[in-house]
Amino acid sequence: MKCPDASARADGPDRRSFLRAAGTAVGASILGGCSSPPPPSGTDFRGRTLTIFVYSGLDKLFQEHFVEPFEAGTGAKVVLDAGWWDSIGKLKASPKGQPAYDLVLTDATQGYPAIKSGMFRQIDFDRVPNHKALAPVALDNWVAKERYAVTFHESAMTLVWDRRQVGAEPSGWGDLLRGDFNRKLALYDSFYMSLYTFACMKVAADGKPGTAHAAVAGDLGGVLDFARCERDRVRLWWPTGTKMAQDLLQGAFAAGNAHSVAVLRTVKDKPEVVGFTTPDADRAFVQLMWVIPADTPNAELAEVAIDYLLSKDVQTAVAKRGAGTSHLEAAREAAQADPDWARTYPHTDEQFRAMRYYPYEAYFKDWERIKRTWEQEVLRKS
Amino acid sequence: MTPRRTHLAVPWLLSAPAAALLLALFAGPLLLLLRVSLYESSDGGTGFYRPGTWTLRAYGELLGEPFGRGTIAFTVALGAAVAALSVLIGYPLALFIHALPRRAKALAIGAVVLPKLANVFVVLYGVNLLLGHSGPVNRVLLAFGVTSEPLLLTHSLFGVVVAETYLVLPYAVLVLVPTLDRIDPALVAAARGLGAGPWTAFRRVTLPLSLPGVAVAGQLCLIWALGAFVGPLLVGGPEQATLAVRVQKNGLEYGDWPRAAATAVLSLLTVAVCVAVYAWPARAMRRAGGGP
Repeated sequence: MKCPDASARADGPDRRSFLRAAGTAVGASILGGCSSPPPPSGTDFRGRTLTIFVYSGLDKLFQEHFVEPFEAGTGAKVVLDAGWWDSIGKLKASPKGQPAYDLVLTDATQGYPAIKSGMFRQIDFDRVPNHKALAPVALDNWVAKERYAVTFHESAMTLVWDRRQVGAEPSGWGDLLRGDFNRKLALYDSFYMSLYTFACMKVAADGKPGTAHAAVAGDLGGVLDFARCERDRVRLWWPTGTKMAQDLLQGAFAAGNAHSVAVLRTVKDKPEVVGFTTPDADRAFVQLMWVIPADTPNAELAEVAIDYLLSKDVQTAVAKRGAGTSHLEAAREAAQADPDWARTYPHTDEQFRAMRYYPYEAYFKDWERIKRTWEQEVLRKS
Repeated sequence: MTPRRTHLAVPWLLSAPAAALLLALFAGPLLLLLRVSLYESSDGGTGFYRPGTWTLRAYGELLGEPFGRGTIAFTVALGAAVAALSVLIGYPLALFIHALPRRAKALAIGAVVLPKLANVFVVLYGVNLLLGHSGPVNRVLLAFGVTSEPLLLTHSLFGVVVAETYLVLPYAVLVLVPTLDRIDPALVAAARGLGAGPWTAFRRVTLPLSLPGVAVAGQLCLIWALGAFVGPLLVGGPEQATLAVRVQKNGLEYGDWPRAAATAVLSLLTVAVCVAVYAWPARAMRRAGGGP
């Protein structure tokens, strides 16, 4: 039996003409500039299905702000597959010519090696005009320069603490070495963030705050030794942002590192419990990227999708969820609307110029050594 | 085909679909897993493996490093502890359920199975809240003066054992209740009639006759517990990482497929060895219960 409401929702002439008109208007706005465009109306992708892997828990947001208008504008069907670090493995295991995804949102630790091994194709940036709306620093890396990925920042490494347990509130990463935090810290169990946290603590202890990137790149042995020596300060290693927030609210640790996205959401509910700062010195961000699998038959559609996902509307929604955005205009508006967001993420030209990702390239250079030391001597004493 | 030949072929024909399924979905992937474990790892991050290479390096690293051996030892110790706890807790619970009237028994079994019907992540989220820093368990401990400050019950071995036992326990109960139901009640009544007290009747009649079921429950729990994954991942810390957790970490987070595959193969071998070793006490239990 056909549901009349659903039918009206899908096929109603009013809605259809509205979408057509909206598509035309937005197409015109693309020609005039590159802000908040739904997909180009002239391109017909009817009958196509675009399967997108969505990293970082953004699937609900994309469902709300992307899927419906994109499907209406292009005629394509969108399937979102939410996950974390499983996209590359699933792509690798896919039969040739039938990739599990047509478009993948992943992070640098997964994306760079996969690009190097030829799993992703070059993107036609001319079909992604909204990339020009991003801060140039966001794209200042080889994967974007060689057009294998559209890169942007997401969460910041944030210093978080429990106000109920902390006397003098910490202001920088060096404060985690204070005696009153001994065996009361919580750090992420992944080294891409927490090894950098140790580097920040080390350079602060050495009286050289702001040189953590250089320390990881130039004195990795020293940073790993420091992490080995200071690992006993850690009371617990959190595996997910949700678990970190749960432990923080329950008072299981006094201070530690966290993803800013989780912190900004938690602090809204419990401002009397959660204290946080994102110290200017050694501030670092997660790098996410849109990449298109090499053998997808829907590359053009994927490029249209990337462009839409980089539009101001979607990026504003991303910022409202508590994540950073490299979209300059969306960042400025988000900063005006939310002071907590403003003190966490770059939104002025000067701040964007100073923005840095985690030291991924240094990690890739010594991946095995870092992994081994991290797993065997920092996370647990074998 | 003669009737005799047809008669002989029937069992093979009946088992053919299952055998084909087993070959396609177990033996095939297992061979692939074995092959991947013999590739050389790729350098510089999640590069999977170097095609066309053959090496035992992943096994050498896993068995040669104290870290790898420690993970295997921890997995076995955790599996044995969880299996033993599940049977020890499950047995009295099964006795209680066995003695209930028919309708109450059905309800009780339903209650035991209920956690298995819920999403395991939801169940473990509840365990996390229960054992959390300001959770009910810590509150009780503080209220009774057992501890002066909340204990770290999650991110710890204690939390993992509780979570895994909670997940495995229903299997023990589901095996033990029918085992107890099958014991002829006249035997216990006869023992009591001949002057045995309740404890003696249990010790001399019920317990020996239920031992074959205990052996099966123990084996089932051991197999489940040796594959512990979600408990150590969500309630434990890095010190409680099992082989299954290492497979996930190496396979997805680090993209080191040879090491992930070698860990998975060692995990299978660990289960096989443990089940083989368990066969001795299991056989003794079956014989004590009058079995072969």
